[in-house]
Amino acid sequence: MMLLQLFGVLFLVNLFTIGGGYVMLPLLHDFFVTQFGWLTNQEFLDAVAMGQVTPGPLTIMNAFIGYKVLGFSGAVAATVGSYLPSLLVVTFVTKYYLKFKGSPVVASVFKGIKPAVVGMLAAVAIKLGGTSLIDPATVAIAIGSFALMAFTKVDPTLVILGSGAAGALLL
Amino acid sequence: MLRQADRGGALELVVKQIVVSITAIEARPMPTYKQIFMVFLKMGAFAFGGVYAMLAFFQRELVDKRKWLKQDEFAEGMAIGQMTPGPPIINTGIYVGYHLKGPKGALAATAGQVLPGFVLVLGLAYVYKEFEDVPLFSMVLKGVGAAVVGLLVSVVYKMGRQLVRGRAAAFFAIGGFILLHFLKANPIALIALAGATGYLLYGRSK
Repeated sequence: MMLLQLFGVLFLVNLFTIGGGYVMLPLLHDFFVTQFGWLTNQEFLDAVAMGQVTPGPLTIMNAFIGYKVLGFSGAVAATVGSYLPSLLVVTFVTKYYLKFKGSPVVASVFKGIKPAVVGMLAAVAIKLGGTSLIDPATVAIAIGSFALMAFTKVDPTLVILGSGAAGALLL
Repeated sequence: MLRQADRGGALELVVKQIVVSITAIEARPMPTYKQIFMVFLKMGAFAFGGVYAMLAFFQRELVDKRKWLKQDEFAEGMAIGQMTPGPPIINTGIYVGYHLKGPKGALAATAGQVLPGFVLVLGLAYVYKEFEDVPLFSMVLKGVGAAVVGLLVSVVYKMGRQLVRGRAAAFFAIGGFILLHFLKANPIALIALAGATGYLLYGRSK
């Protein structure tokens, strides 16, 4: 019963929050801490921290919540519940997008969207830079990784591992 | 009469679609489900820098190296990923998987992308009281955080060189930048606005 409830709540929250990550936090907190009392405040914060230090989007914190509440089966139910809405909706949207991509209307809409996405990414890069580039060492790491990615064929895995090692040595 | 016109339009669309798919088949290597899963598994495992680092992985692994995706298809996938429910980077992965091999391809991409984080969360759940206090861990994260900025700029650079050509495209790129950076507009609303402007600018002249 709890397993179904866990799955259902995460399915609905993820279905109705566009943007993922931080958008879903208030809703999750309300359900799991306030309404159901399945987690303490501290446990919820731990789940957020867990989602932040692990690779990939914050959403994987739900696996931790599921594990806390119902063990391994809870973790599986929480993970499937969290990503199933994405899988269903994006598959549906992509199917129809690819179908109508050749139409003049869709093509003209995306002709505007694509360069706008590039500009938006530049804005995100500046925002991230404001919080991560705090001294000459971090600036050097950022410039180095840009150059490696833009002008060489180095694997990004090495860039991430190298920057982590550089962080341990320099910072 | 309307019907007739509809049919004509539909036929034109189908022909266009066939031409597009034929050229796509010729230009594009066809990956297996396992290959899709493995590539996304690798990208999912090394996305310690968060979701923005992953964009650089997508570009290098899928566009540059394997040529499964073109630069502009990648941008389309990012826009769709941003506007659909759930984490945008996972959604972009689903778009890529579907694009390559239909619904099962989408599933393979999602499974690969999610699995590393899932395993790691379960592992950390056992030891989670202790690791917060390790200073080395936070230093490593700081280094990775700095690299992510560089990675993201490289995505902008490579994508921009192909997609931002000509005055009109520059107008959209600069507009997107200004509205997000200075006016803190909502990204979803921004994409919708860019799409609507694109339609007004290009859609009706044909």
